[in-house]
Amino acid sequence: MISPVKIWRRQKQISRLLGKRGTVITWTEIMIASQEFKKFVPFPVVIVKLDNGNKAVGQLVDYEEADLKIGTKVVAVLRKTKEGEREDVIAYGIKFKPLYPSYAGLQPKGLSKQLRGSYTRANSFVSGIF
Amino acid sequence: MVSLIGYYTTKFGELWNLSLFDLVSEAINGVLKNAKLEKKQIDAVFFGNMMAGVLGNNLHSSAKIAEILKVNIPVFRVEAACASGGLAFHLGKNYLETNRVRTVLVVGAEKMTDSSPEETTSALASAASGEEQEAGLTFPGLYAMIAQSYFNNYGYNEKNLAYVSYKNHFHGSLNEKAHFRKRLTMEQILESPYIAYPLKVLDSSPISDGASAVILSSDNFLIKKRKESVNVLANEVATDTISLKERKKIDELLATKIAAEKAFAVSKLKRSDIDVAEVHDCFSIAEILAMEDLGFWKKGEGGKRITELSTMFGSKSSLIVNTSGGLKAAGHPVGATGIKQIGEIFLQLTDQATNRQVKGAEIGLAHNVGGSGGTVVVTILGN
Repeated sequence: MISPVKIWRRQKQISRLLGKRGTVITWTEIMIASQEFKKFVPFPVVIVKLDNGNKAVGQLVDYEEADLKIGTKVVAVLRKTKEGEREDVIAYGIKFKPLYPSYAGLQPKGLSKQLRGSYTRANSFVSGIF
Repeated sequence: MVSLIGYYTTKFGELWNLSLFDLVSEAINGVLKNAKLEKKQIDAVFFGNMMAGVLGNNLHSSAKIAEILKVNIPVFRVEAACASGGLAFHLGKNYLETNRVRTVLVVGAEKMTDSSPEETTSALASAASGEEQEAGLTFPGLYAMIAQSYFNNYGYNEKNLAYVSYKNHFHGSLNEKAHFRKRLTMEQILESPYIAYPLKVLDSSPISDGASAVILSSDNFLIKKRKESVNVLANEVATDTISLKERKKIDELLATKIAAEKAFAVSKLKRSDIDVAEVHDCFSIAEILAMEDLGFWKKGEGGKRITELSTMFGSKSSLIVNTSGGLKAAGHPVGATGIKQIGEIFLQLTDQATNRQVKGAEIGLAHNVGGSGGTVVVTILGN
């Protein structure tokens, strides 16, 4: 059983990280996982150095192959992390997605300074929620 | 001065016939026989084990061991993930030095093959932080991230890692107690499937059962009676954050550096004095980092130095590493490893290492790590 009390306690940490931006400082792709994560393999996990200096760890989502590298700029988003039995609480937590997704074909240096600014603000506003 | 006066290890492997406490019994009886001691001469037992609770629903092992041995002496269970054995040794040695007792038995054991690989992987993950577990990280995953950081900083790749497995499997072929006895080729290692990119099956130590035990004594009469004994010149412990992300540097085990510095300072020895070493190669990258963090190789040079295979048995160099086969080939029954490492050094220093004997080995070092570097025990033995 996923403990509802534990989930409730951890929620405070989620709001501290949500929407925060950072850079990937190392990563891996899990091919053999433990019991609960078996059905999701393969999936990447990253350690992120946030812009505020703290570090965070979590899965990388909504990415392309090219985003899976040290140096990718990411933002913390809210995603489902664990699902238990029918009557269990569904656990949500922090995962990371690329700030400038390569699938969108938009890299900051390809845009004018003005467009870059508004793209970043719009993307991080939206990313911060999803 | 505390001395090691006996050592015994079970075979490491998939030992279907033997339960955890069958293994513990075999190791305890074996080491008593090896040291030519009776159980009534043992004043206390220290038991290193990580997962008996999680996998076997077996705790209160102190009472279990009292039942097996039919004794009423103090028994202490010690846990520090993969450093459980080394830490049990540390506490056993210190117990000897600070109590009016003469002889202590330290046994490390683990039973891992009764459970499915997924159950074992989940149990092992308990040595990682809550956040790391929640992110779906496994131990290969953590060390894979360490490897990526190391590659990125120093320009190495998977090929550099393969030399570790190649060397240790050669050593495993010389050790009749090793889990794996077959030599491997570089091609086989590089072509094995990924577990957590960039670490592959053949970069990773296996899931094994096993138990190893040593007897420590401060009784000079007993020590002199033994033909084979070595002194514990140093045994130091250091810790670091459980979370990999909170470490000062991801591609370095600070706890190894601190424990090594303390051990060399206490023993007043230099790195060049070490003839044989058993370092903690839970994954191939871990051996490369260990050689750097222990101070044998310069930071960043490990990836290149390992390709020279100077630490392989048969090389003319002055330091041979992991003659037991390391964790990689000898196997890694978590609680037993720390004791096996110390035992292997004991065999080398007392000229009992048979076909893998490093000639003239006089001083040896054992390096045992818990988790991704949260606990490290460094032991130096010699006479």
